[in-house]
Amino acid sequence: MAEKKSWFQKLIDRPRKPYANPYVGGVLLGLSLFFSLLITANGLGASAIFARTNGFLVNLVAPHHVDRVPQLIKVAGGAKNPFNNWITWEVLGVILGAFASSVLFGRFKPETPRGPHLSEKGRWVMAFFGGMIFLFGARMARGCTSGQVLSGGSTLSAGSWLIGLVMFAFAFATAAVVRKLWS
Amino acid sequence: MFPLASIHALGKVGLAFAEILIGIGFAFGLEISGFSNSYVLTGQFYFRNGRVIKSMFTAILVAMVLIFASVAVGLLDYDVIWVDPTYLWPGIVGGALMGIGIIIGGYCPGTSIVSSTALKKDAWFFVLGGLVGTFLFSETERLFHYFYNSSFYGRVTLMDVFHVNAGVVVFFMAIIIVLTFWLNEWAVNKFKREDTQPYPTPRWAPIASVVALLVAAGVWAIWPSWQQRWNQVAATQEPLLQQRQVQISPYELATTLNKTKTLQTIVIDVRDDYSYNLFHLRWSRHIPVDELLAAVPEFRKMAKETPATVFVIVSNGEDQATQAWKILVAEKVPNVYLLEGGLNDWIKVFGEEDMAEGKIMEAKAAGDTQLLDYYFAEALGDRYRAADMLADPDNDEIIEKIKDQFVPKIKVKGPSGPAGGGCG
Repeated sequence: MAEKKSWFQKLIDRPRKPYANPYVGGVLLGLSLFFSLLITANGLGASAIFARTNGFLVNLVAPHHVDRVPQLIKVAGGAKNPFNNWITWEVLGVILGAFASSVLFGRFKPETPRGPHLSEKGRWVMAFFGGMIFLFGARMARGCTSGQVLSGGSTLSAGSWLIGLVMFAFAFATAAVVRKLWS
Repeated sequence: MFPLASIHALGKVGLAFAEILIGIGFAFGLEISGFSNSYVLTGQFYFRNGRVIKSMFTAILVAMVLIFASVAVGLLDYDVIWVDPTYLWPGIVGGALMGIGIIIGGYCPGTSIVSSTALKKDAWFFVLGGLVGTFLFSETERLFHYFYNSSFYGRVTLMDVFHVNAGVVVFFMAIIIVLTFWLNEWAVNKFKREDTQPYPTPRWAPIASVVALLVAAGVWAIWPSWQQRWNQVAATQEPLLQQRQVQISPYELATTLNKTKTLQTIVIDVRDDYSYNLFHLRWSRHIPVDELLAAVPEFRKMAKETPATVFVIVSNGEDQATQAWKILVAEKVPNVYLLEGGLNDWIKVFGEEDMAEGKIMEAKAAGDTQLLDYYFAEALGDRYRAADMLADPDNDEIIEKIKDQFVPKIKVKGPSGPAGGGCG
C-alpha cells in the first residue's frame, strides 16, 4: 500500500534534474538586468534587503538607537518603513522565482551542500561566519555581487569593475588557502 | 524614452509588479546556473566547474551590449539609469572581504536568498550570519566613518577613465570577456578532478565567440557622433537657437559673472590661438572648438557637483559659438548659453576706455562674424580694461548701471538623474 504523501513532501521528492548550461543561465540573468535598467532605472540588488531587514529589526528592539546610527537612519526611524523600497519587491520576486525554479527542476530539497571533509554542522558554522564577512564587505563596498559586479559591471562603472576584480582575486586566493573546506 | 520609471509611465503598483517579474527572472537565471547550491557555486574556485565565470560574465556581456545599443539609438537615457559611484578604497576593502566571504560562506547575498528558498540549510545560516554582519557594520561604521566616505570619485565610468566613447569600451570589454571564457574553459579542462561532472566546451563556442564580438563591434559602429546626437535632440533644441533664447547679451554675462554667491559661471572661449591672444575675457577657459569634445566629461562633472553652473560660450561673432553650443547640448551638458554678438559686441559695450587709450581701434572691414571687428595695438590678451568686468571699486559703477539693461534669459535647471538606487 502506497504511503500517502503530503503536498510538501511531493514537492521535495520531485526527481533532481541536471543544471542548465551556465551560459544559458547567464543570458537569462543578463536579460533580467537589462529590463531592470530599462524599466526601473535600477540594476539588480540583494545586499540592500539585509540592510533594510537589519534596520527593521533594530527599530523594533531599540527605536531610539536608530536615530543615533547614520547607517540605520538612512533606512529606518520615524515614520520610515524600511521595506518601502524597490528592493523589497525585487526580493519577493526572487523568492517566488527560486521556489518555482527549484521545484520545477527537482532541486527543492532540505539538504546541506558541503565539501567531502566537512561535517554538516561544520558547514553551518562556516556559512554563518562567511555570511557575516561577506555582508560586512558588501556594506563597505556599497553593493554585492548583484549590485556592484553585475549591475555596475554592465553599466561600465569603473569602481564596480575594480570591486569585481578584487573580489575574484581574493576568492581564488582564499579558495587555495582553505582547500579542505570544499575538496 | 526609457527608463520608464523616469517618465512615471507605470505608477507605483506597476513598478512593484515589474520588480517582481524582474526578481523572478533573476532567480531563475541564478537557480538554473547552479547557484542554489554552495558546492556547485564554489566549484568555480577549484575549477571543478566554471559556472560562476560563465554565467556572470555572460550576464554582464548580454546586459552591457543591450544597454549601450539602446543608448546608441536614443532609446535609453544613460544619464538617468543607476551607475554605481566609485569609492576607491572602501570598494577595494569591501571587494576583498566579499571574496573571502564567498569561499567561507559558500554564497553571496542573492544566491543565499535563492538557496534558502530551495531549502539549503547552509544558506539559512549564511542569511543569519549576513544579518549579523550588516548589524556589525551599521554599529561600527562611526569608527571608520572617514574611511568609508573617502576616495569618492562620483559617477566614474570606464569611458571617463580611458577617454574613449562607450562603443569602444563595449567592444574591448567584449574581447576581455570572451578571452576570460576561453581561459576558464581551458582551466576547467586542465584541473578537473575525479568528482568533476563533465562540462565539455560546447562545439558552438567558437561561433558564439565570433558572434559576441561582432555584435559588440556593432555597438561601436552605431555609436553616434555628436552630430548624430545633435540630430536626435535638434527638434527640441533648434527652436531655442532660432528664438534666440540662449544667446545672452554682454550685459547679462557681466551681471551673471558677478553673481558669484549663487552661480558658478564658466566662460568657454572656443576661438583659435590668434584671436585668443589678441583679446580674451580674464576668467575664460580657452578650448578651441575642435577640442571641445574632449572637455565634455569635465563639464558634465562640474555640472553634477555644482548644479548651479552656467556655461557661456564666446567667440568673435556667434558662428563658432553656435557650433560649440550644439556640441555641448548634444552631449547633454546642462545650462549652456552663448554670448550674443560675440566678443565684438562685448568690446562695443565695454571697450570705450580701451579705445580712448588707443589700445583697441575699430576696424574698417567689420561685419565678418568669424573675425574680430577691431584692431589691437598689441596682443595684450586679458590685460585690457574691457577684459575684466568683475565687481571691484572700478567696476561697481558699471555693474550698477547695466544690471537692468537686459531681458534675462538664463534659467538654471537642476540636475536630472536617479534619486537613488543600487544596493541602497
